[in-house]
Amino acid sequence: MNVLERIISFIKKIFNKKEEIKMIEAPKRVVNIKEKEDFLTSIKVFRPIQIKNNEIETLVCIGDGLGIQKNMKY
Amino acid sequence: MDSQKIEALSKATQEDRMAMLRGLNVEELSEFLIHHREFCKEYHIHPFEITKALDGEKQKEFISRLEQCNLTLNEKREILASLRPEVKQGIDVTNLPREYATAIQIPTKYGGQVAFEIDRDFEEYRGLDNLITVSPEEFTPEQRKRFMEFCDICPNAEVMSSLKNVAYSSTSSEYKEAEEWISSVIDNIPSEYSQAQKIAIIDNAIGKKISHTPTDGTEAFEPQNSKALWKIISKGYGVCNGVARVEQYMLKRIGVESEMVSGHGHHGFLKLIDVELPLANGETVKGNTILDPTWNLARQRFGGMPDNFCMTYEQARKNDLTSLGLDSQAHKNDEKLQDATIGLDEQSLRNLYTSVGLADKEGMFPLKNLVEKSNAINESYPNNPEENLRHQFLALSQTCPEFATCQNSTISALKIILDFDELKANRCVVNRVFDKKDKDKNAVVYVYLDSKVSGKSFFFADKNKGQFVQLPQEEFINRFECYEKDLENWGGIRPWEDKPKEKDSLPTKEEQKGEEK
Repeated sequence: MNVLERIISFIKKIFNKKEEIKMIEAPKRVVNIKEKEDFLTSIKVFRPIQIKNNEIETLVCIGDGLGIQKNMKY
Repeated sequence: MDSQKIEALSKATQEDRMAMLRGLNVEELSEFLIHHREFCKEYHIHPFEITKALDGEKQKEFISRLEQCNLTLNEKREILASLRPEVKQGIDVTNLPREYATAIQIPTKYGGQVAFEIDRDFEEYRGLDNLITVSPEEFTPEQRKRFMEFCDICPNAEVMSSLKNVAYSSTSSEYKEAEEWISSVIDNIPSEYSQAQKIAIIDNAIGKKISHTPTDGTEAFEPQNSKALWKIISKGYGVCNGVARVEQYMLKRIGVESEMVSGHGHHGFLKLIDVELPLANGETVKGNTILDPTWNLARQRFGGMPDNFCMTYEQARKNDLTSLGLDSQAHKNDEKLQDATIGLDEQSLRNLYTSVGLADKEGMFPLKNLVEKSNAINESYPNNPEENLRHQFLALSQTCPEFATCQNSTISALKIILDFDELKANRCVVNRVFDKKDKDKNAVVYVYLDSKVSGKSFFFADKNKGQFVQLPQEEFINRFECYEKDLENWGGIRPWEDKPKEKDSLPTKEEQKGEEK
């Protein structure tokens, strides 16, 4: 690189100097986590999952040695 | 023996208790046996279990005092029979009573167990039940016949059967009862019947005799009782591989070889080897097929179509799929079942069962009658669910009078005949509970109906009366309890207990405070 190019490069650096990166300031108000949780709890509505079963229910036919059997046919 | 030692014995485990007794000197031991008969009875202490482990010198000394101990003749014979061989050899039997002499002369194995000999005079074994263990699975017909005589003399001897290389114990009286039943089934099959017809009869007989163990999976379940071949037949209860073992044993009697197979769902069943099956198109196919005796139990008991009888691997896998499309993988075992390529299609199955008189001329199975009766009841009592239930139970008991003792088969049948809509049900549960007063927690079938018309009704299958009995809610709840496993599956709530009510609005401040607490 010749002397002229070096001078041009030096001048470019002076004029294209980037701004320093500025970090976003942390909020000055401290968030009260407990307050937030309490608020979330207060708006919750207790709704248990209710599955409407329209069949005769049994337990012992499922999963054990009897397996998951299909209904009897004739 | 002072009270402190007795107290220590009572607090010890059975193993430690026996070790402590073996550690006594002979005089103390004799005194203990004379003065503490009740204690021995209470803690199931057999005197021979103490003496058989004594060293030779102690045994000799004890024998010299034998007559002074307050023991029964059988207890004395047990002690004499289980002495160490070197001690036995040193006893002159010429002047001893015959009962003593024969006990001493009986050959024993390690641990003082009697080395059973099928050709011996069984009278010599009388009273030695606790010392005898026999494995008669491979007995010839002649040996079996002779062994039945032994069972009358020693009804409480231990009879072992194997399942997956584990030995399970029945008593000799259970063996006899079971073998008599097996003979009654096999001997009554017409000799001209084909192999497939014979298998059909045996599978049906097993379903009529055995029910799936109703306490399986609960805290009251004892695998020993559900996997021992002859006990299963005698008691009428077994789990999957136990039932399959029974069928395997019976099929071997008619010359059908089979293999026990486990599916990925830990379910046990059979692969029949090289059997001939007649098809509806007139052809006969020969090869390996799948038979699941457990899944046929309820079907055979209530006269349903046994559609787990002689299936190809493909058919068996189709049966694994639920109506929701879930795959239980109960019969999944590609390695062992890829050669199970023959099976009966529905028409062939119907034809086969018609040919042995277990289905009608049209190939319909007897369950049809029960279902039709059930439908007629629904029509007769459209607005009276309780009366409907009572008549359904009556129809069920007419089809199967022993319904209260084959709980799981009964539950399967009730699932077919009870109609949710006809009962105007909000909820209808058919399951098992146990009587709170029953320390063995035996299973009792119950039906709980929450009907829009009649409210909550409770019925239980009374084994003594042989009928369903209705109880008021409070009485039912006071008397019966759910098994822990069932409670867990119900999410900790008994079926008849109210679930938390759905809330439509935001909780009040008071409720919020309550929840926080």
